[in-house]
Amino acid sequence: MAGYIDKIVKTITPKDTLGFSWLYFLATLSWLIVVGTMAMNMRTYLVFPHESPGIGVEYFTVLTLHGMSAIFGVIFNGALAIMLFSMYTSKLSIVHRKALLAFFWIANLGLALAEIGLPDMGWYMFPPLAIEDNAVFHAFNLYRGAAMGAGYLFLALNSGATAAAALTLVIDGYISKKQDGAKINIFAKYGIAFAFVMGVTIPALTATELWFAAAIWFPSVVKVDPLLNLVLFWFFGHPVVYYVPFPLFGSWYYFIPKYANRPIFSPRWSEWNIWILSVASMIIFLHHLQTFPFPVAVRAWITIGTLALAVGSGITTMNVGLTILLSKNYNWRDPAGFAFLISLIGFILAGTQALPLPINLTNIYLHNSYWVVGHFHLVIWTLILVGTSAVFTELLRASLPGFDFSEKARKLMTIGLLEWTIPFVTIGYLFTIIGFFGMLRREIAYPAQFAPYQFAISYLAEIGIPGLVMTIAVALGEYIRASVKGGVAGFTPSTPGSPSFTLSTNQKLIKAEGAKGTEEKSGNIVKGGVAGFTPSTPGSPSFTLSTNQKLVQKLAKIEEIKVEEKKKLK
Amino acid sequence: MKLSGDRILDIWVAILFILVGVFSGWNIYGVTHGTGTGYRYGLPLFSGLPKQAQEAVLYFNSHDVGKQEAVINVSGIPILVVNMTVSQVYGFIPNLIVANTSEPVVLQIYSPQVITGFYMTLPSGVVQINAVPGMANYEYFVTPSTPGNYTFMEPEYAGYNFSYWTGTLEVV
Repeated sequence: MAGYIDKIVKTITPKDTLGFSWLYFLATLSWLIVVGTMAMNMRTYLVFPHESPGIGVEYFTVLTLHGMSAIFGVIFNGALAIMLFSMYTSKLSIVHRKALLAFFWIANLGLALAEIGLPDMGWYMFPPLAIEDNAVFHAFNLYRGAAMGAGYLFLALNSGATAAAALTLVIDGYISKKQDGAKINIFAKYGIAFAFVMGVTIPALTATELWFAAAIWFPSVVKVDPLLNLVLFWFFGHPVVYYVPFPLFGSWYYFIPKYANRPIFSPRWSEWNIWILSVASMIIFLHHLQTFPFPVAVRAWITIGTLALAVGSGITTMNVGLTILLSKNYNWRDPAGFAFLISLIGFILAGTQALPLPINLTNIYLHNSYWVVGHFHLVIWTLILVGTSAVFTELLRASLPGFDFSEKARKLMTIGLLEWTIPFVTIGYLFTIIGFFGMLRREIAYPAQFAPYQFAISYLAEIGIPGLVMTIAVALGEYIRASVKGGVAGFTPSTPGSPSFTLSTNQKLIKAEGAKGTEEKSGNIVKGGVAGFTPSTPGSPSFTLSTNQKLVQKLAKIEEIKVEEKKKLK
Repeated sequence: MKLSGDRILDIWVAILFILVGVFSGWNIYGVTHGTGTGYRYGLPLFSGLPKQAQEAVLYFNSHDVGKQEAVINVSGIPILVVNMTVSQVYGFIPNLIVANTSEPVVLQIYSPQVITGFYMTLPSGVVQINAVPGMANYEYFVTPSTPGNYTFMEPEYAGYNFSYWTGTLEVV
């Protein structure tokens, strides 16, 4: 029992880069469970086309919990998990570990506390609805009156701590690069660049949340300007959709050439593209507001700015796509290789759907319709979730060198990915179709002609969800089984670097350390240990002295037991 | 001559930016010449309304016409001006607009409480606009050439019962 508690403690208080990546991945999975549960609740309501207005209170709570958990839980944590893993692959380390750990817990507990208040205003929090609390509407079901301000303060803690965590990654990446002097790989470049984008844009969300809290607590002093607030919110609200995809682009550039068994088609544009994507992603926020009263010049800019960003996406798909197409034997039989391929195809499909949305001439037809819902969900289901699963699979491999999935597991994971992708791509297009024909989003009473579509969507979602669950569960199950078999069960994922010690390697270490003598072993173990493991433990510079001592002691004990057992057998 | 991957991508990027330029040019032309859809309408300070529609709205607001809607003819073209309010609990006031076939209509939309909107599908396309508290927003369209009823809806989440905020355009 004590061993399990020790593992849990180590997992939730990581000491190094890979451990932090694990922590953020686990948080992503946890929030994903909330997102999925709420989504299926919504789908239950939506199969009936004439829900009564009284259903609105529950339905919009579920909708808000779904959206908030997705954006502030899955996207925030998922993006940072991928960015941390990108740093690990490039041997960059987290220097401010305590600070990052504090930011992680403040962000996630802040979101949990806000959601306990059962928010009802939608994740986009458009004011003045977002601060309304009267007989007609209340922004939080449980936080009423002045307590509503606390709800927004919790959300501000979530966003503020996430922005601080992202900036910590940028600073620590810079510090550890300076110390090391090594060249950063393309994955880490994307990771660090978009950590910076996160750090710059999320404070706009924090500002809106604090503004709401202040307006609730000091109504006579602080007033909320709805239009200004929309601008502030969407300065964050549009780039947020890129927090996960663009670091995933980095993972494509890093991993896909390995599965394609050839170099990236254009190394130069894989690097230059970072500038187009990062700059353009921060200047197109107003394309969500084309039906709002803004001047003509601003609207004209929306189209140009958004299409400039689309150029960045076009470069990526062409660069990665040609790398795959020109390879003779892309390894799609590997679950990660297959997932990267799906995420690329999914991004092309979802991105094509997005093209009419920022165009002034066509936006008016599609704004607020299910077309928009179809587009961004298709991005989430294929690129974000499948792509993140691919990176997670690589994280498992990095955590336990020599580990790979069995043939059975590979088949199950591939089947799971197909079971997830086929229904959800179909749903994405069903959303698009009903959106094109005028089905408005968020409506709980809608024209009956759309009911068969909504039923089909709910049914397909029931089929698809087990697919992703199976893929992730099989991957994790295989990893845990291999960890136990390999004699590393005692090493939790929170001690990155350590899962990569094989028994034989550690035996060598013990022998080597034994030969050096006790004094040298206790004095230089961090330096010597790390140097010895460098190729397989990129995250190890933050490994502590005490952890290594314990490790050596543990392994020495194992060795003693084995020797004794051999003697007994003889 | 064999082109490197970098060089091929150079060409690809150039093509993409040319496409952006052409498309944006077409878009701006549509905006400035009024050949686009409803984009040029409904902007603040009348900046997107046709000139005769702006004059009709000004006349409507400066004269006590005595009702929520009136046909104004100050520039030789009769235009139906509707003063519409969208608010919680009841939705659209008025929720019935009666207009002639092929008649120009200007909606002057106020939303005193929360952000709301107006959404209606006509045979010629979608009419959609958002309204923000503290300012009026404007929507201009021409009614269909044949009689019929068209439902308008509230597309923005503005309260628990916003799905039920509907109204009818009756074209006679």
